[in-house]
Amino acid sequence: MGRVFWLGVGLLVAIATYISYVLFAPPLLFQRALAAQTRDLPQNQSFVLAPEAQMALFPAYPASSVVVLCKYDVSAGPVTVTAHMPFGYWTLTGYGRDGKQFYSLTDEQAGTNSITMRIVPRLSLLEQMLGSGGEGESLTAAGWQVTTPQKSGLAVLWAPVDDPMQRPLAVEIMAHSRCGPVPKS
Amino acid sequence: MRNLNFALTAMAPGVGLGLVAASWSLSSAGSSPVLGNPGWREWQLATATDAAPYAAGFFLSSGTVPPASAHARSFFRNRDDEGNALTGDCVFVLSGRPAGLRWWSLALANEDGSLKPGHPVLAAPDVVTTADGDLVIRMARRAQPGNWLRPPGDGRYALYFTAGSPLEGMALQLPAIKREGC
Repeated sequence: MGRVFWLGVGLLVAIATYISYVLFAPPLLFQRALAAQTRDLPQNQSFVLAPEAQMALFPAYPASSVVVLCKYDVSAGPVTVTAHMPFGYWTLTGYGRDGKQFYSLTDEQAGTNSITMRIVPRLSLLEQMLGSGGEGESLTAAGWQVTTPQKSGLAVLWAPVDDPMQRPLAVEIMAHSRCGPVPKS
Repeated sequence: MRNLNFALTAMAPGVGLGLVAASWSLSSAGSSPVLGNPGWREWQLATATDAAPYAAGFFLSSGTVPPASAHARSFFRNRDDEGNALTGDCVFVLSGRPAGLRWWSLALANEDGSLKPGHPVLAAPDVVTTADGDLVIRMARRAQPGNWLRPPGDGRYALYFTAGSPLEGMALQLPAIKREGC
């Protein structure tokens, strides 16, 4: 009987370890890697990722492509991402703090190379019950509005470059992209 | 004291078993074979699938941003069409026609499909296709004519293929891989 009990305890510990590791270890490891690559970069500002950091965080992309990153934080209010992209294929993707994607857009879907996306925090249960606004994705006068499931995360602008010689031009265009808190009116 | 011994004896293997199972799940449960493309496995990153947390976890664990599933599909394989492991001491030839893609890239990855900084990557604009539009890439340690990817060592590796924005309704035909010599 005692052995069966301890076998059960062992199995429970195995299950708890499994669930904890699968749920919590990947986001923690990712946060550590992200912090190592973007330690000096402030929140709610956009910046062209240095080639070394780009290769570390996006190893499937060739070094010639360009990534603009914004570490957003909506705890103090919505954040606006204004993307200026070169002509051709590009993507804009929103990730939560845990690295899970919540929004994605390509050049074809946007239909333009300059777009504005407002990232707003998810409404609290009380706000939802009081009907304080919509959730999800919507088009407003100021551009696209998307709801982030978490208070902080990453907005990633990415554009491949056909010819490595054209990279400086793509960097120059994308460096005009902006990310920052929405001014209080 | 005896109970403490029992507890430790039961819990230590439990923790070990949990860690091994979790590690295995993260590297295996997030991908599945690709219909019509034997040998290739696809990372199931679309959030609606049961495998998505494992697939995302696999990328996050290696400290990389998971590919955006809405506009990219990610595939990998670590064996050729005849089942031989991809190794750096042999020459392998990848051939196919990546039609219907707006962008693609091919990277050499670790055997489990994970990518590390500095792994060789070739992308759509970097390669030369044949007159018929076919793609031929050789993977070998020594320089090869045409498109060439150099494995980082003599050991095993995997191919990691990213298909960017596949056209709606178009069946994806992934490249074939054959061993040319060792």
